[in-house]
Amino acid sequence: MGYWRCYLLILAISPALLAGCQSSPESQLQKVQQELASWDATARLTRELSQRGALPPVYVRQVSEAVEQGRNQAHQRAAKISK
Amino acid sequence: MELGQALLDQQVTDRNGELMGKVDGILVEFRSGKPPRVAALVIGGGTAAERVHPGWMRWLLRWRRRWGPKDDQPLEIPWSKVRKIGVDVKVDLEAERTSALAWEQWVREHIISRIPGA
Amino acid sequence: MNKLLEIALGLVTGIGGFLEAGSLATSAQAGAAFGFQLVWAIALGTICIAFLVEMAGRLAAVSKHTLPDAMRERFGIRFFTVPLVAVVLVSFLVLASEIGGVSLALQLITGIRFQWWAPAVALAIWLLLWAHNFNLVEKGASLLGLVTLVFVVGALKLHTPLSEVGAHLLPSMPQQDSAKYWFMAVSIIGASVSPYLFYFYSAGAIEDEWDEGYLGVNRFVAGLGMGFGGTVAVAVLAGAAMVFHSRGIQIDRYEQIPLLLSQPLGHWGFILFVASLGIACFGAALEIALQIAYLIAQGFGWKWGENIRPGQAARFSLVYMIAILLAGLLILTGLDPLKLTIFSMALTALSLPVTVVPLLIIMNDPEYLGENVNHWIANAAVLFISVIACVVALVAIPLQFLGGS
Repeated sequence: MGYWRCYLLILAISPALLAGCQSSPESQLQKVQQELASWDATARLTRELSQRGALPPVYVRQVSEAVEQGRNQAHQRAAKISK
Repeated sequence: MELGQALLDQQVTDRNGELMGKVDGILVEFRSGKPPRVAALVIGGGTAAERVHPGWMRWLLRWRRRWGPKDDQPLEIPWSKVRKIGVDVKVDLEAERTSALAWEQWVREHIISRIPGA
Repeated sequence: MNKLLEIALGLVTGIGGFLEAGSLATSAQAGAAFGFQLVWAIALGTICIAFLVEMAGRLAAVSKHTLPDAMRERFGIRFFTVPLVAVVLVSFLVLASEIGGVSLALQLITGIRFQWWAPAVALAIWLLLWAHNFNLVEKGASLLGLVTLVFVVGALKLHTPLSEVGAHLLPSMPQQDSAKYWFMAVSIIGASVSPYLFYFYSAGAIEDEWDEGYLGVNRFVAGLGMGFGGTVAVAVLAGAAMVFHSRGIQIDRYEQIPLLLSQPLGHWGFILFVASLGIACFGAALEIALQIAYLIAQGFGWKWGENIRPGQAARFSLVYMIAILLAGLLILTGLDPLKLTIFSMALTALSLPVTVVPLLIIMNDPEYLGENVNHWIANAAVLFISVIACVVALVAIPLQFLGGS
């Protein structure tokens, strides 16, 4: 039963250790920028392929929705980091 | 005794080759002046749970008393019934007639057979 | 002649059956994020699973024991509960991921959200198993699974530079985003070395009544089958590298992934992607559900079998029924299937030593294998990969979740 106490201790300390590994606000914002660029590029590629007739409208709608949701989440995160 | 240890957790099959369960426990007979020997194999009834942790067995038994087959006692197979030991342990019994398959039969009656196609 | 047929079937199953939600998601994400850099992770994972599958087959053929049966017998009920619980939990999450994959395929073509498809998908899986003619289902699923070769076609059509692929067969260090890199590497290994593959293989070998004469067949099927299967995963990564990496697209939603086939193959690309996703995940779900039932039934000595009436293996049937039901419910909650998939792959990697070490011990025990015990190379390769994967996973998983991503 002594094992469990050791594990709990390690579990308790690790967040503190890992928090030290937290990236800086600058790099976090950079990640958000990359995400936004990724969503933009996704939208562009989808438009391109859709114009070629390669994608059914039902799917194009889904990607657009996903892109919008992704963008919103990224903006929310950026706002939180900037605070 | 070594035989007993080797027997533990082996697959048990009946005289028709049907799977009966695993050797969850062994009963050892102590005789005065002679080395102890295996008296019986035990299947089921929470015996395996007890070997994992006695607390588990109590919890399991409490739960099993609420549902499940009435005849939930561990099955003791006397050594005389053991026919062959190899890849599995063959015993001279019929699985369906023993309590080894009590849970199998209970699940079959109460759950599985109620669904079409079983 | 019969053995040749077995080999052919084994190969088809290996190719068609390798790709599932896990390999698809992890390979696509890795290709998008790091280009060709993580090809080595797929290679390593494939080598590991090929060894493990061969071992499971050899164990069945020589000792006539299935893996769970041998594990309980060799280690006793007490130690057996550790790998039992670990593998059942992880497999359950992977099963849910596969149901998520099929549900997503249905969402892609109909527009109806994936979670509403989960009950129908779960029902279909259960019905096919209930019909207890798994031989037929398995062969059908394997043949249909060949549709995943479309990823190879796509990668070739994109003019994937094979030199790039070759250059990255050896591990390399990441130039940036280390935490993400290593997390993806272990997820890929977890996706390749799924325990269900070798547990399922071991049960199959017993049901087909393999004996020592099949050792050659076993080696061939394991090596080539997994090898070809791994190639399909590499093709997914290559497609993602060519289509997404150059455009700076990272994969955060399943909905993005079809684009990697639409780009090279147009209209057919989308259709065949959906077919591949649906078929591959469905086949995997069938196997995982059975594997969970095998593990429990064989570990406890219950009657089991996928080709006998459910009434004759009542507890076994009950187990897979409950597994499928719970997994379906999990997807019904609307949990993000991509996140679930990636997470269960990382968890698989984390639990590898617990799953693999007992198998290795048995494979080196002459009581089970006689003179067919493991070659030291097999031991070393599998042990090394499993332990490294676990250690890296131990660090990478928390970093991924806490380190601001």
